[in-house]
Amino acid sequence: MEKIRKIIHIDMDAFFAAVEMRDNPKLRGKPVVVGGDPQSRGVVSTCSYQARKFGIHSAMSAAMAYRLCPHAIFVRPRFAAYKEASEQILDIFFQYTDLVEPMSLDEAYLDVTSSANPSATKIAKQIKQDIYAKTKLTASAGVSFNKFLAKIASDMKKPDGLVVIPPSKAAKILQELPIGKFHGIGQATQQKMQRLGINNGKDLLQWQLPDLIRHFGKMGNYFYNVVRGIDKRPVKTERVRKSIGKENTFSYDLEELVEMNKYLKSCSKQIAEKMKQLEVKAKTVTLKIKYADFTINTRSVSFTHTVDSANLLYSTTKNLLQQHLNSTKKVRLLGISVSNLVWKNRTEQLILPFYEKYSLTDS
Amino acid sequence: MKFSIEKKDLQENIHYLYNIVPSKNTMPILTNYLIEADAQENKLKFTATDLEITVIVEFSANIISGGKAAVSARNLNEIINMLPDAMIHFMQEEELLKIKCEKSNFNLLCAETNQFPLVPQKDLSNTFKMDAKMFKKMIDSTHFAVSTEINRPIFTGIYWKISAEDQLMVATDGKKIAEFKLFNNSEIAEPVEQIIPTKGLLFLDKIIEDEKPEIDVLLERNRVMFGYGNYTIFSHIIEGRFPDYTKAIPTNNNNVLVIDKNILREAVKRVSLLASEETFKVKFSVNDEQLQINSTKREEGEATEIIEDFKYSGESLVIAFNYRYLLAILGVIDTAEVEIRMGKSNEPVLFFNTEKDEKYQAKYLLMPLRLS
Repeated sequence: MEKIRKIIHIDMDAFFAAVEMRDNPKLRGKPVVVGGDPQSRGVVSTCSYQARKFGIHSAMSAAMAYRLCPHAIFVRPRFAAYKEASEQILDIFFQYTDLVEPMSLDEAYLDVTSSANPSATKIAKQIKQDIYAKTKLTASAGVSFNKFLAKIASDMKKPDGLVVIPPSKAAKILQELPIGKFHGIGQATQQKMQRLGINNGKDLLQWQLPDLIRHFGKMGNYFYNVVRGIDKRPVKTERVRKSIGKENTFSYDLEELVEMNKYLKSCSKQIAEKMKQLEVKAKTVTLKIKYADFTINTRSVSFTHTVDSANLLYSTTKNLLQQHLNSTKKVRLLGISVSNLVWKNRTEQLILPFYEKYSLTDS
Repeated sequence: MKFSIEKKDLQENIHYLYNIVPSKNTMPILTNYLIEADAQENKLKFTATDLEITVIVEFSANIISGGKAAVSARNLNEIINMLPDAMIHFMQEEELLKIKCEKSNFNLLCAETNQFPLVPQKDLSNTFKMDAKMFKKMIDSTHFAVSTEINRPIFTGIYWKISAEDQLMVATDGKKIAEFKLFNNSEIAEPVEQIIPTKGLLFLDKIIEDEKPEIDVLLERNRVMFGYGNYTIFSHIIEGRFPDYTKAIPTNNNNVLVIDKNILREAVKRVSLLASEETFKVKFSVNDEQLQINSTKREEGEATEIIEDFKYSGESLVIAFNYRYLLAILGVIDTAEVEIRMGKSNEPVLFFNTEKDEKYQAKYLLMPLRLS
């Protein structure tokens, strides 16, 4: 039997608008519309929940939004800021699993089936906390056994929600789900469904596969499956990991170098194991020291060759610690990360050595 | 400038030229053809360039008065293709090129001819001659192995070495090597070697036809000129030294498979239907009795094909290839059978024709995929 998967869908709440409100306190608690100029033909990218109360929604023309709520605050998008927050969020995801599929700047699927923590719900909760701690933004999370249901779950208690759909509850939720809420059913399909008397999951369940295919083509197959809770789409990861790191906040602040080194040794070992597992080597090693007064110091060393052994990681970080440790302070946290990663086995294709070695400087 | 020419003549002569015109116009002038009319010789000359390669085509026309103009290649091309099969009359009037054919009239705005890059002079004095068909064969047999990685520029062209006894063309992208050696006596006094970008060579490859047997070549320090029929092609040369690839070619691959090329090709094509779309992997398991080729596509299925009609000497071996590279190599094998010399699973594999040709020798190397 196939193992039941654990999928988390994370969806940032009114992402662009939330970033704007975070960065500009004057906007907080007000209807904020991020998008084009209401005097022009621009459209709404995102709007705050306060703006939604006036019926404003994404993809609506900005001019229409203005008519609905003339006192709304219209701001131009700042994509660099959204991108930055998005990157921070992605980094958080990768701390929990390598199987991350970002759908856009503000939305991603995670497959945590093989994660060390057996509770996907706890992971989702932790991720939400991490996101808030790092970005001061809220996210809604959905947890279920496939992507379709995880997405439905994340949408159920927005904003700042966390909804779990276990297999035992899936059927009931799907049957009660209005047809327009099925992901992949747009307005046109929704109208077509309603003409056929399909208003919710329960109605859809009555339809046989050939009939659905006759009316909806390829999508018929998809509708037939998802209403039965079947969605085998894997979480496809594309982003290349940029670093591997591990850090620990000690249960008491450390003073003794011996103790710190002991941690560095075990941490080096764990990172080396992770590198081996991912078939990657690194060129840069970074040591992070957080003191009891919460000041942080990071020091890096870069090598011309690559590093992958626990011993070398340990000796490097031990030296860094010795050189840079402020011994007048107690240490609250130590962390090691490796970056500038070189993938050993990105592809299975073997490459001729003379070709691989050649670089521009050779000519 | 005033001239007239039959639509068919013009179309035939400038048909390939449009390929040279850059689609992205970093320099707008390059989207033009330079048209020059010589009244004394009664000749028309069209030039297109993307700065890396310049192609000139010269042909007869009825020139009433000489001159030159630069006009949008795209407009001219589309107009000519749409005109009826009849005489086309061209006339330059100030900044307009007027085109008249039966009842159709077009006025094209000209660009300034002095903006057009300087076109090198055709110089046939130091050229040497090559058998055009053989030259085409050399290009056909090697260009598929050229690299597209622009950060490794020397591999983005074909290495060409000419000495008194033979000629060599080599291309590699690190995954495969194609080496083609032509045994002939060139008229060349001193050996030369250059790396030629594929664009110019592929243009030549396209225009070479049976009727015109010879091609004139002039290899210079920073460029190469080819003269073929009505065409003159100048191509820049890629700077740098082509590394010694010969060390990568194994000499002791003792697992030798000889098999009908088409049987193998068809089998690989069928099995490839269920090969991974990321790795394009097909796996060969071969021993004295059986060659088994198989593929697996995650969550979709698998394919197996068994071939028993072949000759094999060596130990039983499992090895995997990117089937697209494998098919590319089988596509340039000239003989009915192919000889595949293998070492270990993770070592380079060599492909040869099974019969020797007195004129040339081709050798292909393919790096396998790692077995997982």
